[in-house]
Formats: sequence, C-alpha cells, structure tokens
Amino acid sequence: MKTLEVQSLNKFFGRKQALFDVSFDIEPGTILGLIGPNGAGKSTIMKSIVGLTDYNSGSIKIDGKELTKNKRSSLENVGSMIESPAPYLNLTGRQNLKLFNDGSTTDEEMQEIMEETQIIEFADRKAKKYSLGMKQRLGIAISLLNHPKLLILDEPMNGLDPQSTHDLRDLLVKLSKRGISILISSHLLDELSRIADYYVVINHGKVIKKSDAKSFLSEGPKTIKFEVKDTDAAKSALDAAGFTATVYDKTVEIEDNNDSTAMNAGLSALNQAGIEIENVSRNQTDLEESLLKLLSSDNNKEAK
Amino acid sequence: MLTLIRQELYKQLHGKFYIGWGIVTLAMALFAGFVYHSSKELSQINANGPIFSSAIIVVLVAMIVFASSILTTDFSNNTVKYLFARQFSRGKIFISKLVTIVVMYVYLLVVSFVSTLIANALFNKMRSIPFDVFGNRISGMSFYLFLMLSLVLLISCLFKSNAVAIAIGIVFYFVVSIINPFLSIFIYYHSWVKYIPLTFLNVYSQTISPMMSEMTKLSLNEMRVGSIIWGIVFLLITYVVYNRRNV
Ligand SMILES: Nc1ncnc2c1ncn2[C@@H]1O[C@H](COP(=O)(O)OP(=O)(O)O)[C@@H](O)[C@H]1O
Ligand SMILES: [Mg+2]
Repeated sequence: MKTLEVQSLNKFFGRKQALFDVSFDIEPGTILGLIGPNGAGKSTIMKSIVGLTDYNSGSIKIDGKELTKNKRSSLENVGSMIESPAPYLNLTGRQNLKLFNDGSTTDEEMQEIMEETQIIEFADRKAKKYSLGMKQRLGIAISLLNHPKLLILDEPMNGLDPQSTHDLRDLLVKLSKRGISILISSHLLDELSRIADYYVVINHGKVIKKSDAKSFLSEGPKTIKFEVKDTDAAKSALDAAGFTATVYDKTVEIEDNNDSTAMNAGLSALNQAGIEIENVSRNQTDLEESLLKLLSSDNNKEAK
Repeated sequence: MLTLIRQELYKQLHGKFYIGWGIVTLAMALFAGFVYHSSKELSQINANGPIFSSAIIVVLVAMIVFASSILTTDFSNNTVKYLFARQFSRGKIFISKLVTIVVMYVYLLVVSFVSTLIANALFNKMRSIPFDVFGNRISGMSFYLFLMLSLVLLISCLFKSNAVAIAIGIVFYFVVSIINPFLSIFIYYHSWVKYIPLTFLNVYSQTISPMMSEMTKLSLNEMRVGSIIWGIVFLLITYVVYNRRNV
C-alpha cells in the first residue's frame, strides 16, 4: 500500500488558483523530492496534506485511509515541519520535545532523536536563543517524535550550513532505510540530488514532471558548448547550418545527438565562418540545469 | 484529548503568567487589607469580604488577558503549525483551550482565597471568613466571566490579535458602568433591548447588589441564563472561525 496518495488536488486562494490537479504518491520507505521555484505551491501541497489549510477538491490518502479535516486519525503517523520550524520559544529544546511527545516516545528514543538531529549540546537552552539552523534541527527532531511512518519536511535545509546539510541528508537516507517515507521539498534540486528516489517538479501549481532519480538524470537534454570570442557571429553561423543555437555568456550551445555528427557539423560551420573556437565541450546537462530548462520551457508555454 | 490538555498545562507551567498574576492578586489583597487596617472607621469592620472582592477584580483582568492570548499566540508564534498538523481535530484543540482557561480561573480563585487568608492574618485581626459573601462573589464572577471571556475569545479570533481583544475586554469592563444609564433609558422605551449581551455584562453587579434588577428589568436567574446563552453563542461562533482558519 502507498504511504501517501494525493489525487487531483485543486486549491484556490480567493479567485487565484494555487494548485491544479496535483497528483502523486509515495511508496513506503522512499524519499520523494518536491521541486519547484518559490511560489510554485510546495508549501500549499504540504499544508493541504496535514490539514493546515483547506483544499477545494481532490483526495488525500495516508496508508490507504482518506483524510479530511475532521477525520484525522491517520495523521498520528505523520511528522511534519512546514515552512519554518516553530518551537515554543520560551521552552528549551528538550521541553519542546517533551511537550510534543504524545506519550509513545520513550526517554531513550527521545535521547536518540536528539543525538541523530544533533541538538543534544544545546537541548537545555531556550529555543529563542537558537540560530535558524538550530531551530531547523529542533523542528526535524519534533517531527520525528511519535514514530512517524511519513515525514513531511518543507525546505528543511534552509539555514543549515554545508556540514549540517550533509548530516541531514545522511539522516534522511537512514530513516528511509528504516521504512519511513519522506516527502521533502526544495527549490534547489541540488539539495535533494543525492537522496531523493523520485522527483515531482511543480511550477505555477501544476505538476510538470514526475520521474525517478535515474531517468531524471539521463533524460536531461544534452548539449554541445562552443566557447568562442564572438558569440553572436557563432550563433548566426550555427543557425545558418540548421541548428538552433543559444548564447550563454561566452558560450554558444546547440543540442547534441547520440553520435558525433552534430558536433562535427557544428565545428565545420564555425570553421567555415572563420570563427575562432577556444574550447568545445559535450556534456550531459546537470540536474540543476535540466530543471531550469524544464521550468523555462513550461513558463514559455504558460506565456503563450 | 488528555494529551492536548496536558500539553496546554505544560506550556502554562513553564510560562510566567500564573506566577505573575498570582503575585498581583496577593498584592491586591494585601493592599486592600492595609487600606482597611489604616483607617480608623474601616478597621472596626470585618474586611475579609472587601479584601476578597478586590482580589477577584484582579482575577477578572488576568482572565481577560489570558483568554485573549490563548488562541492567538499559537498563530503569532507559528506554533500552530505543529498544533494543527496532527491527528487532533480543531474541535478537540479548542476544547483543550477552554479547559485550560477554567483551570487557570480555578487556580486564581484559590490564590485569591489564600491571599485573603494572609491579608486577614496580617491586617484584619483574624476575623471570621464570610463564606456566603465569597460564594456570592465567585458565583457572580463566574457567570460574568463566562460571557465576557467568550466575547474576548471571539474578538481575539476575529481580529487575529490579542491586543485588540485585551483592549476591548478591559474597555467593556469599564464602559458597561458608563453605558448603563443610557442602556436603562433604551430598556425603558424598548423592553426587548434588555436581552442584548451588554445588559448581561451586569450579571456580576446584580449578583452583588440586587438593586440592579431595576435597571436590567431581569431577575438574577434570568441574568444568569442570559449570560450562559450569549456565552454559548459567542463560543460557537468562535469555534466556527477557529475551525476555518487557514494557516
Ligand atoms: N495564505 C495565502 N493567501 C493567498 N495566496 C497564497 C497564500 N499562501 C500561498 N499563496 C500563494 O500560493 C502560491 C503557492 O505558494 P506556496 O505554496 O507558499 O509556494 P512554495 O512553498 O512553493 O514557495 C503562491 O503564488 C502564493 O502567493
Ligand atoms: Mg514554501
């Protein structure tokens, strides 16, 4: 059974539609990365799941059980941190954990959670003295209370330094190996690139891509980059040869194909036009770049 | 449900509210005792009633402050994101808040009583305790607060602000006595006016001085029932607003 099933979720803020038929699901023990730029609707999706906000239509099931505002029992197994950590500031980290413990987490388990999230050393200080990164970790610790089967973390890496980000990644992978499913959002693909099993990309409230991590990488469009002095002349030479060239800063890019014909054709076009080539590279687009392309082509569609 | 109540009380226990207002209540009782003690004429009478009444006015203010923030602080501190994101329905959360208000009220009543005993020992020559007067004040205050705090909860929820709710609560307390003359004129001309909530905010005064019934044109029991009915109406509206609030 799927840990989480979101089907055709629609949500309006007044007249403005924030979510359009959003559907996706999470298998037990997997990590799903929800990717999208700011304002795409990531937090709104998460808020709808845990009942912080209403939605206009659609259905949400946790462990196969339909979830509504008044039928919330399946949220017993959900830990969440949405938008920003929000501990009680006049309580210490430890007291916050005690407060949110519904009684099923033992003292040893609590200790273990504090160790895993690395909040032990400041657990007895008041939360109002915490830095954003410390609050973020406390927030994650709170979401780990009460034996969650599903963790919902909204941009949990915000405010964390590289070391803590690295440690959090390790922790999330460890948790998913224990069978916990994780829904994690970010506007930076890079943050999730080594941990997510699946990606859902959303833009302007619509799911524009769903894919597993491997195919996300290999599906990305491949490019040939020519580093040249005169990019404009290079672009017209390549366009004349039948390519659609794009100028980026000091490089001109064309789409690659699977053999080397595109590269050779491009090179000879540039040579014939007498353009000096300083460097050529064929590369598989990295994740961040393919995401940007995906988003910009979606934005273009939207504009038309 | 018990989990929620335990959590609310845990927060209060680690807050300063109950200590701070406990001290103010004690100070008020001591001050009243001292005033009676220092006056030649007043020191002749048993001041326990007035001492307790003074303390209980502090309780009134404290409860307005308390109720006005109990729903809103979760929103302003964002802690509502943990509170509302769990398996508990908003109705249960709302009830746990109401229970917490009642617990705080009972606690402050106990503090008022103990403070009166202390003031009695220090300034009032250990005179007898007029339990009937105490009971009368507590009953009047309880009906009054039920109505007043429901209103304060509603205002705090509508305006999303505890400051507005405190201000309106305190202003209501003082304004009622100023408005009463006008109210009584309206009631004289249109007798249905006596059923508006404002009239019932006199329930404490009428419990203490039955003469008030000439103004309100309602018996004490009618005043009590009216306070409860309006209080329930306000609570229901508050619940609906609270339940629909998006975070
Ligand atoms: N309370 C709200 N009222 C009106 N519009 C909102 C509200 N919350 C979010 N939105 C809008 O919904 C869209 C999605 O927001 P959000 O889910 O916060 O995006 P993300 O988390 O992906 O950055 C944005 O256009 C935002 O302006
Ligand atoms: Mg967001």
